[in-house]
Amino acid sequence: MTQHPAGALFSAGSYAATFAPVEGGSRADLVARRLGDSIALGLLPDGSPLPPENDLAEGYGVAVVTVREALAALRRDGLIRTTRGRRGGSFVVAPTDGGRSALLTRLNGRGLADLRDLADHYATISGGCARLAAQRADEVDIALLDTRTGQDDESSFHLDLAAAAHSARLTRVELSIQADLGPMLWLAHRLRGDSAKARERHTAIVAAVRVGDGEAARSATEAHIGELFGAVRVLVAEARAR
Amino acid sequence: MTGLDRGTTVARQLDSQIGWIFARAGELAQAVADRFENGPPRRAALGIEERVMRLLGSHELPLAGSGFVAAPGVLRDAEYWLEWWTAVPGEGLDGVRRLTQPTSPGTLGFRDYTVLPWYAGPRDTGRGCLTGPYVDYLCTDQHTLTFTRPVLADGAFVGVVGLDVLAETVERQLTAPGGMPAGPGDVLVIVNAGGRVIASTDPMLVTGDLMRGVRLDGGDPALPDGWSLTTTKSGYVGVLVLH
Repeated sequence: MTQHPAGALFSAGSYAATFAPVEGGSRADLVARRLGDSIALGLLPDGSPLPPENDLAEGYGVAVVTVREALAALRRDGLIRTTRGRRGGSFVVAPTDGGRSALLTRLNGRGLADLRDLADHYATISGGCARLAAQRADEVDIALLDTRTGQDDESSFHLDLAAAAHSARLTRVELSIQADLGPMLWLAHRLRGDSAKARERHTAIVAAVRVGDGEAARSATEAHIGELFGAVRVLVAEARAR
Repeated sequence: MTGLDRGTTVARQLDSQIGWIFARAGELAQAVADRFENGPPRRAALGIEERVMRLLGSHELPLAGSGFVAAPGVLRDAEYWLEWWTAVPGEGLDGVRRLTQPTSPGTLGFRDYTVLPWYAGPRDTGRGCLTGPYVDYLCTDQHTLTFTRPVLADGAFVGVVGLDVLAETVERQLTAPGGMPAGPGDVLVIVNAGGRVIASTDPMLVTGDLMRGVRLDGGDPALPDGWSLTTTKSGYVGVLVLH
């Protein structure tokens, strides 16, 4: 058996696995888009095998025939290649530019007002989580946030911050925002982001949580998310200048 | 029945359930360890699904999940691996789902589970651990208690096995008719060693809240090992501390 990095396309947990609401398009379009985005954005290593069709169908909660339709679309777009035989299957064809052009195209198709809206939503949720975490986090929560600060993993840091708020609902919202925005933020940060600055912000957020200063935790988190979206805006400007 | 008696009754009931959980975790750990007898196994050879299904379908206690989480590098064909099933308590096997979590470092959505308390605890202490209540974003998305035990193959740590119980399940036992003989104004709050509320009959204190400065009176001979019962000034009949 080989490992299936495309498992990365399944989100964590039963709630997240239902994915964000989809507007328009068929089920096959949805599966193709979810799989295709992550491949086009360079988030999956070249040549890595996709899970078997049955596993994909189960993971996305669709019929196997729907998965086949989606895979056919991905083949047409040159995002996967499929071989026959006992060792056959579908394999990732990674972009040669690390996903940059796919990201720019995607950003170009998204209005700045829409992006600002997303940023406001995310900053409000994550800032609120930080404020609650300052009231409710215990030593175990704080130790975990300390570890995440050093890991340079934006997504896990913010999930653990939400979990430290001890609100199941807010944590689910955080998961669903990440399912929607995750690939974009992740790549924008990687292409444009300032890791040292992000780490500094994480450290400040955890410090405020540790001393129970909810307002400081919230404002540091909001500023941090503003900076992450700042990286996205710069990329949008680049995309438009082309 | 005094508050102390009630607290003792509840502590004994929960303690026996916790004992049951750790015993099942121990069996699961042994089953996984057996797979390492002839060197590092492949993922497909772990074969714990049947055993986990029996657990999740058990009527002893409604569980929210169970499985095995491998230490990095111990399997022949994967660096990181977790084999976990979630269940909807009370729905039996109908609600069981295999967890599909990215396990390749560097890919989107990968979470390094080796820093999470339910994994790090058994690895670092070599003993069974109770984690929570915490919001478990990997599996249940709800306030969860996770019971994990280390899996040792030839003395070497190769991962943890665990069982999940929702905090809500514990609370339901407290508030169910017959579960908690409460008189007017009587409340019972169960907290973990960190003062985090696991379950409570007091609407003002809910799962996940922190009760800061819980005083430990020391072990009461009537209580099972690891439990304390303490009263507070603010009129709580009993605060059970599980540690």
